[in-house]
Amino acid sequence: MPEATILKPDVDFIRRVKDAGGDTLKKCYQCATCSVVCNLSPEKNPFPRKQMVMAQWGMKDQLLGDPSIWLCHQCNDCSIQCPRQAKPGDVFASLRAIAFQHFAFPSFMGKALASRSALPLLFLVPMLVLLGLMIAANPNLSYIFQFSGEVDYARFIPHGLLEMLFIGGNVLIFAFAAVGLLRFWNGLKNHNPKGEGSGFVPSLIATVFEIAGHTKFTKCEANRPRYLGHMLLFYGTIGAAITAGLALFFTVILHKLGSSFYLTSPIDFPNPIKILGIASGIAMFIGGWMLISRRRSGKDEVGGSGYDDWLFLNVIFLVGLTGLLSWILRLIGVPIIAYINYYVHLVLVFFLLWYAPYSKFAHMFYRTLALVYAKGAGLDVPRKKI
Amino acid sequence: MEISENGDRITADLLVVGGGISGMTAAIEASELGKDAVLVEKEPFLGGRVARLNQYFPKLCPPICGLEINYRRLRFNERVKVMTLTTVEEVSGKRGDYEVKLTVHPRFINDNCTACEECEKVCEIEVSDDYNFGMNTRKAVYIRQMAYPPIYVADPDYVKDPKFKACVDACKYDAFDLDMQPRTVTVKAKGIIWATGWKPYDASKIDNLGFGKYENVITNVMMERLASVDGPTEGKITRPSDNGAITKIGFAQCAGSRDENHLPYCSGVCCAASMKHALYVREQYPEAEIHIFYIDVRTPGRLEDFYNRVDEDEKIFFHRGKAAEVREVPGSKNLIVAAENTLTGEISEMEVDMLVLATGMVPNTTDDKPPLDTQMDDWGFLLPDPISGIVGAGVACRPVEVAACVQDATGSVLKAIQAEERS
Repeated sequence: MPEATILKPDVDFIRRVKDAGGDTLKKCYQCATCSVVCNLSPEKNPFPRKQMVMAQWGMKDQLLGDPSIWLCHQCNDCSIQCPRQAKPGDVFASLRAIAFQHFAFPSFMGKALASRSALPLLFLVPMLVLLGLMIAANPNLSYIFQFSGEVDYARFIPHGLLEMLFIGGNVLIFAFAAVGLLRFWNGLKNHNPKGEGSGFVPSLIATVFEIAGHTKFTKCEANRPRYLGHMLLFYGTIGAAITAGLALFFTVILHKLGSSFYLTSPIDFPNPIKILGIASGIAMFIGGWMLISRRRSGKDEVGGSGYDDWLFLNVIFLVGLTGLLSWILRLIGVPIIAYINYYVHLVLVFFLLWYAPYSKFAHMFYRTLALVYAKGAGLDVPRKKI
Repeated sequence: MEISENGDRITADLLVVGGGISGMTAAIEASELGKDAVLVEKEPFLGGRVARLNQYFPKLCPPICGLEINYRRLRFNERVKVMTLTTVEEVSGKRGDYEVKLTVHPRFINDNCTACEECEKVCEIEVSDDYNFGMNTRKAVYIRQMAYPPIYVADPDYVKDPKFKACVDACKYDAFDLDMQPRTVTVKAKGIIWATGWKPYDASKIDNLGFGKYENVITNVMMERLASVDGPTEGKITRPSDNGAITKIGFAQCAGSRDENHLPYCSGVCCAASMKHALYVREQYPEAEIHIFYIDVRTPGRLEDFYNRVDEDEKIFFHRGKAAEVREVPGSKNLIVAAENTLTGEISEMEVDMLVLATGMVPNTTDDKPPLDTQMDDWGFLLPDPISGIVGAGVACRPVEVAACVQDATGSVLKAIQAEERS
């Protein structure tokens, strides 16, 4: 007589999956059309069929420890072809949203980023901090309320001070993120058999190349247009971060070190750093616009969008937009609009970076780590088509 | 039954629309109760979908058994008037007192016909045969295997063709009447039974299974014709692309059924039908392997014994996982079928000679709405409607197998007569 396996469904989890956008999950009748039509589904451990029944049965720990939910890139080929319209694409998106909350450290931050009512408070923190810095730099704020004249962002908040705030804060944030990610990694180890794959470093390298080329995105059929939008937004954001770093280095650090190569702020066109900044801003704008308008179209091939999707996408798009506007408004020379826009820009950047481990932005950590794990454990071996 | 002298007005107890197994059964059962019935059928012959079968499941007996007995019961039946090539134009009135206008379309051949086959032999006009789903051709003058009435019919599109004259000249019995015109016949009946049956779902709408793109992908109804002696290959099941033998064949269940993108309902018979087809293949090709890809096996009631018999067969394999991707191998025109084996959790790809899509049934009411606003469900199946009083029978009401249709038709007679008693 074989030993009985006892399953304790986590009914609360099932409810959370439905609330987060996976409300159609119970329609699935396990035909496995989804696993076959998914171009990212490996041969030996295909998805999303198995995860659909695991979600129906409320197997929370196994699901959150399954790298498959991160191998998914929401192509929505599965949702389009599903005979039951059970929308496995949307179910997986809700599982990811739940993962951000589940692994968040401290956990109240995870809940806050998922809660509409906490949003005003989340914005209030950076607004007050930045306001405080502004006043500390210049108690007399009258220079802001001019309709013409010079716009000097360094006067608004000194760049060095700003960067210390961000970098210092980010160190703390990354430490918190690491706690969550370590839990995630352990979960992956506990719930997956030790398969034959590559070592950690080769997996990491392979993952980096895959992300750089957006290879998995190119395999999507239904949601293929997203490849370009995401690529632009992705490289735009990276470019913007590099620009900020370079600007800090050349305007502040070199100056402090007494080097003659330092540049005065603001760095202007046609300096390559400026060009990188402008290009990044434009890429973020176009990419963000493409992704937002596709999501808003409500078409089946785009899949559903939850609160976490909209929050992240809008914030990062506006970071790009306000960043570009900061430059344009400075050149035009309307201080009041320029400074207000710049303030908004800083608030949004703060929001994006400091809340990164808890918002959808965290997908950059989780998915990367899951891909590395999967490749290492031999769980990302594509189908051999005969 | 009262029939006017020129045959244009008929008064009867029941009008049965549809001359398939359900309609015939209804008309015959009514007659055995002492009621008279007019049985109308739009095709040139009775028999509907059952006449197109090779064998029924689960006993694998041929329609020469269950269908032909109905022809015998109709042949000398004074209480049933059979009208083929007849369509319903208009229905008015109410339960207990209907008036129906029928159009009798010209056959162009009269009762002199002895079915000697001479006209068909000399005929040079060949057209694609819809009866065999375009897998072969028929002549412009033709008859079917179990023809009732046993009289040839001429294709109206070709009677004016100059080549058709040769067919007319071949007849020794003066059976051709090319001047036949459509006639209007009015029937007054107390009850109407609507047994208009079904047509197969259009498999070319199913994008991922290759029907219409790849030659060796066929449907279950096409397989049934291939296996039939009066079919395009005289009963030999062969690959359409090269008429080759079968070594490995696949069956894709729920093709376009239980599917929100196609037919959301289950047609109930396709599981047993595919198993029947598997046994056809087993008989003709003892070495061939048969692979059936399914989501659930639906063989209720006594059909479970049939399923067990097929499942135990050493050459028939059941795979739990829907066939979701089909590709063609260039050259051989074989097919690669991909499905996840949900029991082992791995995706497997299999190369087969031929793939049969188990497609579902669509009621004909979706093409020709029943009269008097008779209620139908979202998919065209008739609902009991006390206001129109029209009684449905057979697959016009729900997708079921032949035995259930016969039972349903018997029951419909009772309902139709009750309508008369109550009004």
